[in-house]
Amino acid sequence: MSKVLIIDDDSGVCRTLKVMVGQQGHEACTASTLAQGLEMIARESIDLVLLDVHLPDGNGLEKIPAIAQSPSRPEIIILTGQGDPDGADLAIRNGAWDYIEKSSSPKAMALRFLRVLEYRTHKNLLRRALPVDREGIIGVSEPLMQALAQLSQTMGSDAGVLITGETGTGKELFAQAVHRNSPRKDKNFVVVDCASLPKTLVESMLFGHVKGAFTGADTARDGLIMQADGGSLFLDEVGEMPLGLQKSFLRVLETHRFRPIGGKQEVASNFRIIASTNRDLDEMVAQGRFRKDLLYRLRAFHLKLPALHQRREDIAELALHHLQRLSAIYGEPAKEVSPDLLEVLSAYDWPGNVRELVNTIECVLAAARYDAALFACHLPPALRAHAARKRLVKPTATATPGTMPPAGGAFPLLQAVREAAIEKAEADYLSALMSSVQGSMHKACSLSGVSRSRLYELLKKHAIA
Amino acid sequence: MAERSSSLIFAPSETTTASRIADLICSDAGLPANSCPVCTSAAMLRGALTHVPRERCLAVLLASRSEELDQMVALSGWLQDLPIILMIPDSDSETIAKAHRLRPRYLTGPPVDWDELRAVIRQILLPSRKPEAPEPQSPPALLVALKGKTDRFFRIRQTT
Repeated sequence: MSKVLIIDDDSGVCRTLKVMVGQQGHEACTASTLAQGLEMIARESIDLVLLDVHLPDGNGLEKIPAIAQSPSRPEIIILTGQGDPDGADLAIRNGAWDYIEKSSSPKAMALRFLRVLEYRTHKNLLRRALPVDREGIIGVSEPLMQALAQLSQTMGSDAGVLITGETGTGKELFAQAVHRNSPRKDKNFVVVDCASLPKTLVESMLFGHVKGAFTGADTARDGLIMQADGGSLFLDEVGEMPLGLQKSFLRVLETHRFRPIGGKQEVASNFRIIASTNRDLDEMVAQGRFRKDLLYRLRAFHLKLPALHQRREDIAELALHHLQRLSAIYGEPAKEVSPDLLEVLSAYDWPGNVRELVNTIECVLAAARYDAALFACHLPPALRAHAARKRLVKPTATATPGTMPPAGGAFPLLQAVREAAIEKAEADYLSALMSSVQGSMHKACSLSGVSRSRLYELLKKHAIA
Repeated sequence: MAERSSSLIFAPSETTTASRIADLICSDAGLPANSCPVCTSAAMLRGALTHVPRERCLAVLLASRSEELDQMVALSGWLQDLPIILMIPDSDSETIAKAHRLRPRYLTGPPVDWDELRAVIRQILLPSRKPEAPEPQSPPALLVALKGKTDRFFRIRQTT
């Protein structure tokens, strides 16, 4: 629950907004003057300030910097009774989140409150992130830091963790980190690769069997669930788990007891479940291919890993890390790395993510085996061709009527025309995007390939609700 | 460069079992005979790793003694990108705990269940599981021309 402060001298507006905020499950308080509001902001932890412009003791716009710098650094939405584009511009430039008219529909207002508070929650999550042992997780980009912040939230709990992300984004690395950052770190981290084990074998591997349970069961065998006792059980590619097995595994998750195949007695195993998949499990649930109740059990915590192209700034560091690691494995001498190699690597989109990057680095090392330095020319031809194509293809921006210079008139700078065209294209795209996803930020991020925080920034920049 | 294989076996002493598994892998994955190297020492393993594309490599580790398993755990950094099938010498909880430090896809203990092992190998080497590989690299042609820029280079620290 967030705390919202409404600063407005109109008691009717205060009352209406207070009800609206309350209906969204948040707490609201009110102030009728700037002085009173500033005092409350200094005294209490406020998440969002709804600030009127014309107040009895001053102009709300002038106090935005002071409010933004107060101890709880609240988000600010400016309220006004009349449309004022210059005022809106000033408000946004001074750090306000948004600028809305009091005559807006309650639905439009509620959506904006919801969005800013969602952003706030997200920001707080990052701020509260605990230090984690991130061995092997390389990078400092914002999407990665968000994933690490999510990871840190799992530390004080024993609840299930679901890790999702495209192939090659490092799901297993994060699963290990979840285990390593838990009180179970000194016990086993047991991998069950649901894609590597034939479907007919998964059950016996998980549950184990007693001697004579079936033809060929000459000796008893502990299952992986038993081996994870005290530690963590990692179900890799959990979307591949046969539907029939999902039911019996759900029961194990609920009771932490199971019966080995052919056994008469139930046995207990105290393990924490961590699962990963690159599939859309919600979609699989909708198609009847994955149990909804199992998904809920697995997804007490949900770590969403970014694709590599969403954390481009980490590519150079990742490349250097894996170059060093692979050089050591191969017993190769230290090699120098030219900036042009890192430039090409950073510009590529990496559909196969970090795994593809590592494979590429391996190719580079093989190609440069007898050389002291690594250049872009050591990259696989397909990647070099991609980089060359990208350099040659110029963006073909369509000139919009509003940005075209008048015939015979003074020409504006090309840069200004180009920037205006880009701005317009960006705004049009975002409007269409938000309208098509009906306000769902999750879907919008997924469709656009833009991180949540970047999308918030862009929506704010273009004042799109 | 030697011909690239998609599997390797590290078996410090279980060479008979290792040869049988190598034959099994080659026949099931349609690889040429003898293209699944059997390494009996860390030096041989390192040599084999330089000839194996890691993204498509299955590593089979056969530990017939506790010390061999210790050696494999010590070399886990070399094997971290590879799917591992691990045979352990016994089913003691200490052995099992050590084995899981290698994060094997399949763990088996003596005796080897050959049917099960074969099914797992087939599943891991199924073509549909393999990600797209980058195209092989041709010898660098521009290297000599570009070598004058070394002062702008990054240096990779060597770790041992």
